[in-house]
Amino acid sequence: MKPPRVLVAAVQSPFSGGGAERHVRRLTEELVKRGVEADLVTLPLIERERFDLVRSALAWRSLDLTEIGSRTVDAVIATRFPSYAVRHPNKVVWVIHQYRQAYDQFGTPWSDFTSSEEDRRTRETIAAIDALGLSEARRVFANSKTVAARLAKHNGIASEPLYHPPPLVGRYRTGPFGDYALTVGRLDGWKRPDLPLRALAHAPMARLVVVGRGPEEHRLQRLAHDLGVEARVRWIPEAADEDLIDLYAGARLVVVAPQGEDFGYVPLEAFLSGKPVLTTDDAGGPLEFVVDGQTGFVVPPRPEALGAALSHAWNREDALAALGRRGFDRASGLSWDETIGRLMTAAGLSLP
Amino acid sequence: MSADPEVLRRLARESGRLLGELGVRPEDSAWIRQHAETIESLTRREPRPGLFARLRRLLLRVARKSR
Repeated sequence: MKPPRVLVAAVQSPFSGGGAERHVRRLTEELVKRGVEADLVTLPLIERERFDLVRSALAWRSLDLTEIGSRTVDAVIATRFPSYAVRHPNKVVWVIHQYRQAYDQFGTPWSDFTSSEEDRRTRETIAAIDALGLSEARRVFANSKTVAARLAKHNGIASEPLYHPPPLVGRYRTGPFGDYALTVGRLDGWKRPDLPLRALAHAPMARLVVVGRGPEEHRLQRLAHDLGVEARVRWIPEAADEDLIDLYAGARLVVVAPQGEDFGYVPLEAFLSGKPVLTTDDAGGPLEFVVDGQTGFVVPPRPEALGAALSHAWNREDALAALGRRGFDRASGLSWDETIGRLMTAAGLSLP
Repeated sequence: MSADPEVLRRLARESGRLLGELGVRPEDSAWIRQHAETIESLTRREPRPGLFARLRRLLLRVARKSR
């Protein structure tokens, strides 16, 4: 019997591969590992002008992936906007990203959509593209409950949350509690990377390691200086996998401060390293894993609240270890076996 | 070598229909103009007078039908 042929459809961000790009590569690899003849199909999402968004959707819509090389493609697993506009009679969508600037981020500093006629029509068209691409799918999954709730709220589309393990699963390790809190992620405004820095001003014993780079990098370094905390901050713009594993293993705890994150690998990476997570009550996806007093600390998104939590936790290693252990148990339950199994079942296919 | 006019018309018809499916309407005239320009750009080495206007009219017709 021939192995099932599956294509993963994904959007590429040339020159700035992030978590989503890594995720779809891993998904394809995990399918291949299980004997599926899988491959990744990507197109870039260009955002120079509004019509580019429609053009990108048109590019996907122009692709009919039913058959390639005289052989039938059994299923397509589409992921980010607008890859799910692709045509295939057996399409399963695993929504990793909608175009959030048109939805929940509209009207916030994180969206550049205005009330102009063109922007209004672009938002309507994005919603039409989502409605078309998702309604014709055999099954719609979301990568978290947070994303599923957004799909229901903004598009009236029902979806099932489908989690997956973080990128370096199997390689994270626990280690002794070090003398720093760790924050990992792109230094973008909506990820609120300033919040952990501002928290330091309220937690005089705490030190912070910031892993990541992005447009806010220089502003944050100036902020650390202005807050008088720069001597307690270490900046690591890029960390190789092994270095990142070491940083997690040696952290005291991990701080996750974005607003409305879709899913977020960082809490899972922290848990698999035996570390609790300090996050905020508006963090979105991380709150599906971080439970206050069980696997970490959940506080209002204010520097003094984060600072107080850091101060409270800093010298309580036993409590941190207990929270970290429960986090480890929670994150250990996620496996690619289950994720791939559910995707294949949804596509009506069996693993060889 | 330049694109066959019939190929361009087919491309305009098909892509116009798909744009309609994706929610683009005849009143989105700037987008339809931009799309006609993209198709016309396939003949840039050998411009054909009036082709752009014909493609734009064809796209508008298709977009109207696919509403």
